[in-house]
Amino acid sequence: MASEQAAPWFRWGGWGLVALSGSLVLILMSLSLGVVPVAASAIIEVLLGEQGGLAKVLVWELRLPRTLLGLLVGANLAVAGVLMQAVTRNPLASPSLTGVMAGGALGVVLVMSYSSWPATASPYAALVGGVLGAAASIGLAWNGRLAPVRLALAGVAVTALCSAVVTAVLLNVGSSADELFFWMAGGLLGRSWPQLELIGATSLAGLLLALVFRRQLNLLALGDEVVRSLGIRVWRWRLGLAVLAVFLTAQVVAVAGPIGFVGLVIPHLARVLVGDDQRRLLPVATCLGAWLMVVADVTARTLVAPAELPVGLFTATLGGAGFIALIYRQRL
Amino acid sequence: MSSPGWSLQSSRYRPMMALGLMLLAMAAILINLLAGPVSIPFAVLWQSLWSSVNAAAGPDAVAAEVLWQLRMPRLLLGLLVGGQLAMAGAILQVVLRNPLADSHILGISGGASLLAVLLFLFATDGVLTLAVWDWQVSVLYMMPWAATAGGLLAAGLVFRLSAAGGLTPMRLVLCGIAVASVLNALVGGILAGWGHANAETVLAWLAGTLYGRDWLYVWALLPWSVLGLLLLPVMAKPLNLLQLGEESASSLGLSVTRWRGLSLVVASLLAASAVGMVGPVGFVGLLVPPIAQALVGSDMRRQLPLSGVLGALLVVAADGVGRSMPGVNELPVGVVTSLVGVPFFIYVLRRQS
Repeated sequence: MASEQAAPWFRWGGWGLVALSGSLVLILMSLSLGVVPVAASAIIEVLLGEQGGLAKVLVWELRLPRTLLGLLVGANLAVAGVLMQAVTRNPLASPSLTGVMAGGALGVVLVMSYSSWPATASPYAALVGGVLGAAASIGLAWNGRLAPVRLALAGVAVTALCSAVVTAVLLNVGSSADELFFWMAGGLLGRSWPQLELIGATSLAGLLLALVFRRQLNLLALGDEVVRSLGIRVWRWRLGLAVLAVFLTAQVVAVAGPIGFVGLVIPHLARVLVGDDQRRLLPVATCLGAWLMVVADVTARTLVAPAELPVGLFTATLGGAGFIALIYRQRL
Repeated sequence: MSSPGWSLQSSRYRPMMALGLMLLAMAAILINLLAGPVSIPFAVLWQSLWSSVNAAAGPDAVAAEVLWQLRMPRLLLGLLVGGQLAMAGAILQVVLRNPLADSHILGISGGASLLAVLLFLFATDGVLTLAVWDWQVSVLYMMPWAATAGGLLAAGLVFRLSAAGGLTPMRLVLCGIAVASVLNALVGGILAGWGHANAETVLAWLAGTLYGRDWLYVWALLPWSVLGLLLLPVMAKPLNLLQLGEESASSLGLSVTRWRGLSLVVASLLAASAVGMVGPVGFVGLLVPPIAQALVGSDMRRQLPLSGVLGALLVVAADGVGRSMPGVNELPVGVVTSLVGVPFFIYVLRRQS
């Protein structure tokens, strides 16, 4: 601890440098790889506005927004996972396992199918659905405390119900279902600047807010009695941070569809690397989540090019393995 | 689930119960056969049951065609699938000693779906050519095999994973959830990548549907149902002993491990072959066994057959409800069973403390 106190900004600066350079390398990789590779020099020229033509379309119109969106989506999911795990003090809490993702998806499907609201309303629909989904699973699992297994089972029930209703709605609507089905598969295919504009500012604000409240998150981990004796209103913070987690998830669901497991596994991976302190955990999880998403997206679009695989295939495979490792680690 | 004082279990009521069930079954079957976009008069059904289809002429011929080529196979397949899923659920709940055990939650459905989908992916026009012997095999007949293999693999994986640190029921369920969600994501991903043009078919299959299933499906599944039926009398007694708990069962001379494994194989076989034909119809195996238990008690010699009957009824009734829904497409049977099953699942979860 003493060494940490000695030169905090130097330490943080070092980590920041690692994070920044890692992200830059990944962004460059994501911009250059694809069905038509673009050389690094061409990318730089495009970014400086010195080159037009195919390279510009590829880099500026297709890959750059998609990459940035991937970074945001991954970061959002990871931070949402960290928040939910801290707030519920439950290692299995995460956007996909607690029904937030499914509830949000149901909200979006309902609004897009039966109302005339524009697509810009979808993050809010996802937010409302997500809050309801989370409330339902936590309410169902609650019996004086929140046992991990019960939460997971309640989440399974809520998810099953939501996906049954989603299927019913999509089949009932018919013609417009194709688009929504495409979105339900989850992923970043075809997402571009409009989607980035839709969630960019709000996501960044949410992520910053989570970082600001890192101390409160640490306190919540101490247990209710301790926190109350420190004069902090436990439930108010719990509720606020839980809503923030759902808000971050809703941004993701609205543009990229339901993407499972990132929010479950990344926080635990970060915990293995840097321990339980939320002040370190939050930034590291943000970074790892963003990186994972970009890597998964690049893999999805290059592995069987020119065809493209859904990102969910990779996140689910990775996440499932992580989930099982978690069951062992936590001795659930 | 059974309360000792429940009067329904006393044998006095059994004839009445059987009669009620028969009436219910008749009603469900008749409604499913006769109601629909083309409503068929009962006389046509009666006539075509006794005489050949061609004997009828005019509009009756169309009705008989709809009846025999569309509704009858669909009804029979629904009965088979429902019975198999419910019996699989009953077996799983005994073996795992957990009312939340279900082929859906334990990943058996997911494994079956994955292999079924892969099989379709590698087949062209419904025919799979085996390169070695240049065999041409209809995918449909391989489907139950592939699905069963997938279900067994998934069940094996779940067991292997949860056995490593002590096989507690809750841990089993958790590992099941993990494996099932990965498998479901894989199925969804493959179908999404493959089926942009036919989103509706894919959606319906993912939920489990009886739409468009003809006689071929019935014939493909029938051997598996018969196999299951033949195995059931053998299974009932060991399952009864397993209910007593591990120690009591082995002190009564049952080789627990062997029968537990065998029961799981049979349950996977029943559930997975059904899933291979119609897609993952959820919650039937969860919903039905407790009801059967409440009606006839926990003796598996009675509970298992009754579960089968009730499951068949449930699926057929759910299909009837799904078909009569307004909208562009009919509601897949799996959606209806989920909508009924989830509240029940929640009820069981709330009771377990």
